[in-house]
Amino acid sequence: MKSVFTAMLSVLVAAPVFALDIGESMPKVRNSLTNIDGTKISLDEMKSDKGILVFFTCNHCPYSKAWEARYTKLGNEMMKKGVKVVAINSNDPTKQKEDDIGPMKDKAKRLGMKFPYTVDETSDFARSFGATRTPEFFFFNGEGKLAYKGAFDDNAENAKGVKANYLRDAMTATMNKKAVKVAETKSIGCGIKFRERRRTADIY
Amino acid sequence: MNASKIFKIAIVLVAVFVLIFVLAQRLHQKSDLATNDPQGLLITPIKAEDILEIVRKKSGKVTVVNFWATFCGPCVEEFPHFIEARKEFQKEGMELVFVSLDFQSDIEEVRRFLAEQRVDFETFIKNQPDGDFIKAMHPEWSGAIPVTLVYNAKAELKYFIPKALTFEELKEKIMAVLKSNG
Repeated sequence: MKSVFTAMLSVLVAAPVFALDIGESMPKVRNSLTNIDGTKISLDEMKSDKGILVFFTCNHCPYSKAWEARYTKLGNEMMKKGVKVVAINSNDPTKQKEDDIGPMKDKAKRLGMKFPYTVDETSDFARSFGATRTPEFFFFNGEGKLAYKGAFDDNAENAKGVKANYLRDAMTATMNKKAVKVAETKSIGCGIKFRERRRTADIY
Repeated sequence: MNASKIFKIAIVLVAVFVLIFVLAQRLHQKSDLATNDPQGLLITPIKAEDILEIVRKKSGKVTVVNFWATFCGPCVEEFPHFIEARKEFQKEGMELVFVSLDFQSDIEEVRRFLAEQRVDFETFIKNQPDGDFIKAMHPEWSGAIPVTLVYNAKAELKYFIPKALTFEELKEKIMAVLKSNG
């Protein structure tokens, strides 16, 4: 009996988690995001022929911190070019208190974020995007299809040592209607501290 | 004449005692180094391919590779379970490989944590670009931590576990692999 249980458990563990593939549309999430200024943001209603950059980040994670100046700069710059940019924090602040709204406001101010830094109050945005870690970036092209997902660049620890600007290159290529050379990358990151699911019916 | 001889002998004796005392102190410090002093801990920079090579070379009946970082809450929480499991299953051939994914610049933080956890064996710290490292370890790994991989005696991967483990869950995996080895 126990071995059956073990086998079932290993199947569960081995089952691939949901992941959004390149070319897919932005997932629909029933909830809206709440910006740090209290306004509600609906990704569904967001449209831009230049594309939409959605990324999952947080306050506490050293990988998010290592990239924060770089992603703020790129986000602000891309907004000027007409790209919509939204940063999402899906972490449960009861599990990671530095990820509460107060420190989020401080972070956005300190970095000079011109784009919304939002709270994913159920962590369902992270679930629907198949996001697993912070930071993790998703860029949708003008038709709303996923053109890039993954890391910001190839060197979190040392900005001067960067050899490949994955996200910037993918966004630039997409906006110029060119093929994205590297559409999917991975990086180490802090696992998202998901909020517990209240009702399964709320998901997807 | 006699008095000066006695005096000389006394000086030699004192010198010998001082020497013995100093040596004993040194030895004592050395044993401290191996257990408590963070500076004595061996933290080797490593690439994914070398981790897999270690798994192949270890003669363990079950090898557990845990990826962790000092900043990762769930990793820190589950960390003692691995040490506990090692104590329990070392005799049965369990090998434990800790790989820190902290930045190299935070190695002192890693050292402090390992000393706090009384780790007295060699551990590792990632020294490879993320993309290559993640891909070589497991195709399904997103890069999020904690992650634990469990290999059998033939160095075949039996479990890829992209989440924190309870002690019971970890024990169950180890026992399952030990059993499957036959």
